[in-house]
Amino acid sequence: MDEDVQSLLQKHRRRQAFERLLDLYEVKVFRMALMFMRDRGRAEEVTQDIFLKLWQVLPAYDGRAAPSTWLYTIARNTCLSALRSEARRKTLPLDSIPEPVAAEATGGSDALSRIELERCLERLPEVQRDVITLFYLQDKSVEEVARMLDLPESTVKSHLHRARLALAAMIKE
Amino acid sequence: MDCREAQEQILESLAETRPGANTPDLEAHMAGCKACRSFSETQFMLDLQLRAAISAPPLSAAFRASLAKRLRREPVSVWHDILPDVAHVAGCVCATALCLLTLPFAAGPVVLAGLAFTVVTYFVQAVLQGSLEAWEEDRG
Repeated sequence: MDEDVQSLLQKHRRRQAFERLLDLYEVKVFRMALMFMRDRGRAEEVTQDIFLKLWQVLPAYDGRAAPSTWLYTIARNTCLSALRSEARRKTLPLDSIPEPVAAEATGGSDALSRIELERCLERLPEVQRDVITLFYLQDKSVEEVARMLDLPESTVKSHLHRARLALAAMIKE
Repeated sequence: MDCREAQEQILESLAETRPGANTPDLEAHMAGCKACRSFSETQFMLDLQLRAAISAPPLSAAFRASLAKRLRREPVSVWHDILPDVAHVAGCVCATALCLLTLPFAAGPVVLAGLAFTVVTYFVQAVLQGSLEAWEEDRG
């Protein structure tokens, strides 16, 4: 997949390379943004910002890293800077605070346990919460989570294991 | 296999996209260990609950159109990319011409020195530009 994009970029077919990257990664990048922003609308805006930045820097692509690695670096930095700028504007009224990702699923007979689960997730250390949320958002791919967060796969697995143990302990409380 | 190994293997299998069947060692251990059976049940239930609770909504239908609109507003100019090189060569040509007119040396060595200066400074600015771009990219 990345090879196709790389060969298009080497042939200076920037628009085609960009469209290929968009086809391959828009959903993954959106889910990553969703994990960081915890709000669908904001995640979609940030996903647009990410691809806009990608389009702007694509002429400088030198082939040293895989295009997806490059894209994930842009995505991570854009999400973090969006979060920082939102943290600076902390005068949000209470009812405008976005719903967490886990609570977005529609309620059903197990709605209560979902709320409890969300509360448990909130109690996890940030890195564990990010890893476990992204793991389920990205269809349980440790490899994808590792590339997105720029962490070794073994570290992702270790955070996953610790998060599961902590969640199980919280549920038993 | 002890309980620690068994529980690690259970957690490991949950980190896979499609968890496979338990190994015979793990099956044998769980058959005689109530604590590990309970651990396994808890973890599989937790996996199901997390899978149900953490679901990603799809991108809205307007996403692509809206992105295309923003892209049209910010076209990337090719001129922007080659501008530093053009400015560099033009500056060097002007400086060499000025030296030719003002310095009391023969034209050959002055042109040669100007050419050498242009080449060396071109590589220096290319390295600096590359480092700056890498730094900007790291900052996102």
